[in-house]
Amino acid sequence: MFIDIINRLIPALADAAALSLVTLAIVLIFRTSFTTNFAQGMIATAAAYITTVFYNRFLFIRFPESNVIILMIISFLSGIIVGFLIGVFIDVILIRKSKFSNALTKQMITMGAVLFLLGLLPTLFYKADLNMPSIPRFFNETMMIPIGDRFMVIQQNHLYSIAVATLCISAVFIALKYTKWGLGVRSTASNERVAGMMGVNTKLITALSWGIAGALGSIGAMLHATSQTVSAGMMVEMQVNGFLASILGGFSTFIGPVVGAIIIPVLNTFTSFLSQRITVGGTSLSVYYKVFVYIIILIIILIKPIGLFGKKIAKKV
Amino acid sequence: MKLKYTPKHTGFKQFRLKMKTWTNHPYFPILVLGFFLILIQMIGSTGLIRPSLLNFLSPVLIRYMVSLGFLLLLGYAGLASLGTAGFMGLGSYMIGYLFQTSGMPAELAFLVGIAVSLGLGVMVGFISLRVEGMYLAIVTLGLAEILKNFFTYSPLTGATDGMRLQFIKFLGITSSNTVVYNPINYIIMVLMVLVMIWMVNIINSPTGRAMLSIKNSTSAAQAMGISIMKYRLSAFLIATMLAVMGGMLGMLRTTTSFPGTWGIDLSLNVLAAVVIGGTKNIWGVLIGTFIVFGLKDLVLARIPFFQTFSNAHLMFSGALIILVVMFYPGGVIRALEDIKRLIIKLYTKILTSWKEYTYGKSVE
Repeated sequence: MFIDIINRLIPALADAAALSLVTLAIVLIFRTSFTTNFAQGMIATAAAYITTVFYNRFLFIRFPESNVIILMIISFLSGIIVGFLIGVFIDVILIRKSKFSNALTKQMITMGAVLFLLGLLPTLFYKADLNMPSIPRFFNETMMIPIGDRFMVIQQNHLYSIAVATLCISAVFIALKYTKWGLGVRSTASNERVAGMMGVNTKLITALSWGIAGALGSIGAMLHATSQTVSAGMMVEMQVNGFLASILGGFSTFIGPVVGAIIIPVLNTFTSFLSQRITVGGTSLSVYYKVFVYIIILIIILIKPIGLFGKKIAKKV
Repeated sequence: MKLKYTPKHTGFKQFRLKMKTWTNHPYFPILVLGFFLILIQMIGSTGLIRPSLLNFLSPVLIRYMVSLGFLLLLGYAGLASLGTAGFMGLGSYMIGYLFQTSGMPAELAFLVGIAVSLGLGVMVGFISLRVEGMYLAIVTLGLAEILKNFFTYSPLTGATDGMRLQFIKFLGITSSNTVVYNPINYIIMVLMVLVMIWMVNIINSPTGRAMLSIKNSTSAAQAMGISIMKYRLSAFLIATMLAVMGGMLGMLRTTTSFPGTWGIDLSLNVLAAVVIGGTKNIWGVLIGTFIVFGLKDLVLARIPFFQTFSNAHLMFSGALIILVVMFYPGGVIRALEDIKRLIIKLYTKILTSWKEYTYGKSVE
């Protein structure tokens, strides 16, 4: 029983690793720009495309005899930089130059960006005869640890995902607490205008936050894409889950959404485990396990609209 | 007492005055449009017009109906929803399932579909709008994704193979995708005219004005005693209902439905149609719908670049959304008005300069 739980929990946590990075990115943008960034997933997808194309079609072919690990790190870094640049581009060029700017127009600009990238990526990286290969893995082995008469099965790649995500998230939290950028983000989040009056360069802070969010999302996509092929729609579900996790944890804190992002994949695993055992009218309910998760989240929002960790913010008229 | 002289118009002049009161009525252009569409369909069904043109027209009209609901949501209530495609898919699968498997008459299935859409809309709208308007887009995005998941894997919808009906009988009309001139197009056109009239009524009624005031300032509207929840929820309900209806009409026309059709790109394209056309005008949305959905079939399908890259047209509408939101928030309809004003200005300028040239400058 214990081993069963562990065997199911570690893949769930690996999912949570990628999801929590995306969620943190969404919350970072929400706190500094006061909008929900629908393009988060597509930025990350673009970065994943760049990484895999750069590695598989360029580096791997041009430098066949050099060290694979170094090539992989170079391609990952290039993808992360592309994610950063797209994030900064959306904020500095698209949002700041628009004629009117409120939460709804920003939302619509990010939706337009989703549509644009959804068309651009398959067009740019088009190969009729080839499926896009997935992102290479650093570790590819499966560990079998005997406990009693059974085995604990752990994929090294999952552990690697969890480690990378933990590292990135703790880095962001330390940066939020101790650096000048973090102070700027926190002050912009509490009140943009007052922060501007106090000498915080809110434009720079916002642009940097978009960039960092783009980079975080890209890392999330790269972790996610080690277990599936890269395609234009690969991050849509991740994006949806990221939003739901943000609502579940509450948009008003940074730690809440990350906890929400850990809850959702665990809940997914749990409902999928339960629904496999329940059959109604001859068909297994396992097809619908995501529906159950969604309903559970909706019920939680209904009971606690500000989220599990949310704080009620008094608004002035 | 002296009676005031009122000129009595006779004959042609009276007729013209009467015509003017008719043509100024907001329903007039809608009825004219409906008349011409039905005329095209009637002439077309005799074989004079290629069936490809007619088959191009009705899906665009269905999308137009869906966009009208979205117009009310985005332009008047100031909310964005990303569940449009999910709701359309729900409608199409539901009428197909109820007709094929349950053996329900299609008319009854249509009504059931509308009832289900209202129930679902109340549930989702109530939960998400309780907190903030922004949550609606997130929750509907989640719902759309769940519905797509359901369509792709559930045995009820035929999974990835899609749902195919042999035929469907609606109001005495037998429709299937093998019929060349599908008579269901008449129903689509009549419904479109009714929906347009309904939209004009809502926009010009106290409801529309209340929605507009909520969009401009939530606090001010609340202070004036306008229930924010009520109007936002009703806008969302109307949008949901029209989306489900659009899906059902699509199923009635094509009698097939595939899960791949109901992806997020369709929802975003509907948003694009409304934003590009102009978020406050039903005629603008008509132009926007033709730009987003019509141009793809008529123009872009002939260009070899867009034939090889089937997704490339999304790039086009995505870029248009961003450009319109950034530089021209009024959309195409605003641009047309601006062009008209410019032409009138230019005309008067040329006229005065011509007069100055012939008669000399006026000295004051």
